[in-house]
Amino acid sequence: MKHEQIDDVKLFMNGKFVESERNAYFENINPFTNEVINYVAKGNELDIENAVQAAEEAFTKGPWGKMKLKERMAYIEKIATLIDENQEEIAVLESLDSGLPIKQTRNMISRAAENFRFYSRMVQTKMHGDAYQVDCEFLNYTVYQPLGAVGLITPWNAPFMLTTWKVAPALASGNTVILKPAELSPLSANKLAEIIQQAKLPNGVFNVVHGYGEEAGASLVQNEKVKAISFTGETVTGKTIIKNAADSLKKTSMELGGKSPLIIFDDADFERALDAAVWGIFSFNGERCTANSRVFVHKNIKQRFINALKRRVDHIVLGDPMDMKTEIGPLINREHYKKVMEYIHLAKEEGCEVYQGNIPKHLTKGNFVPPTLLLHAKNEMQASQEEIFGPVMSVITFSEEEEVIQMANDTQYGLAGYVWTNDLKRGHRVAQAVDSGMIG
Amino acid sequence: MCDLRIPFGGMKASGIGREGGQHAILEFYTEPKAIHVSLGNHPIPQFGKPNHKGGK
Repeated sequence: MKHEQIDDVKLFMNGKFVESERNAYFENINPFTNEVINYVAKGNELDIENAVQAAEEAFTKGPWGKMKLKERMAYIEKIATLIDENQEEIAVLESLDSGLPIKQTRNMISRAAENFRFYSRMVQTKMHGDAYQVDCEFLNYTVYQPLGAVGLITPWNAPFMLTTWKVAPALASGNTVILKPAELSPLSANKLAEIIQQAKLPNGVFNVVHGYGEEAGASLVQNEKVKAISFTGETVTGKTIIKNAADSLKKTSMELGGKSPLIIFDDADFERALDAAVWGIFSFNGERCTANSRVFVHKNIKQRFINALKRRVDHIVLGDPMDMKTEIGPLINREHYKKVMEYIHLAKEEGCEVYQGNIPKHLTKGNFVPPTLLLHAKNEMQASQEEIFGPVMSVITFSEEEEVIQMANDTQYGLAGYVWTNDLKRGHRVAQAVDSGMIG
Repeated sequence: MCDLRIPFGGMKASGIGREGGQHAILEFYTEPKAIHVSLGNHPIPQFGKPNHKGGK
């Protein structure tokens, strides 16, 4: 597979691919070569207005919300089938655009198809209300109705998987959608638009406006006709969105940053804990919100664990995202690369021993950061507190359960958490005590 | 997101709200509407009607 130029990307609205109103474009850069892949239509407030109008009309006047459930689910399942049929093409686009290794994007795309099948089943079985009888006087009941035109703002770190994870429930439950994909990874979103066009969904049900967050994203959030915003991305952006959504009293859903702890007690299954710790931070190039960027190791196994981590880091394969052997690809863009490198530099200044894998000499153009261990890290260091969003693991030692719970919770974030122990009671106890939305 | 049924999302600065599973559908992408059906002739206060209980 080559890193070649591909067709320019347009906006998708009311069933058609169109240029932006101001005919503006932005460059889409390949993270492996840092060359231009193609140009992307740059939407602004005018394009958002057009897309919202299309989505609102499709909701209020079109057949989407009124058609029989079976009919709507046939469209949803058709999308899943078409994703499967185009799996390889989408995986290649995704790797080209994001730098994610092809072996990982292939898995992500098949999971994306499953998102649609899953929500077809969910809507058919779970989208029902309750009945509340009041003696012989009343029978009250609830029904669940779609909101209308909803805005989805998606990130660049797992674009197709996370996009479909929002689009599938939004459409299946009867809403119409305006998608604003991350400007750094627009390609697979357009492929989804092609698939939805091919599946012959009614015009205006699904719309895509590319562009920057400050322009297209902000206009979407401020638009009064948009009933809800689902956002996945940085915490700072999330706060801005909630503030701006307040004026039109929009419903918002925020999936933001993380600095998730992985705790390894001395009775843990050593090799499996090692596999999990390494995969959890170095998969998706370290650009994952649920990454275990803080690893707490019990003092009794600390040295053995660090030695094992170093051996893994020595052998992790950096390379071309299109190569099936590649385990870590280049980071999304130059700016993000610099940010991650600055954090590694900062960790050194804060007193960490930095241990890194090697970047093969021929990889000169991509945004490669080698797998990095921040050894002898302390939880209060900036490098252990702020989200780096790269292949960088803080390794922190602990001796007592109470102490590690306190450190795990001493962070502004609370997304995921991981506990490794063979002591059943301790496992559950710690899982209950760690402040995170998800823990395993 | 290996199990699509779980509520996905974070606490504290990691987010507000949960998507995933039935949570996406019932808690975010739809709104419940409560519909009240009267099965009989339940009492309704009769404001402004002479001699009704709430007056005087």
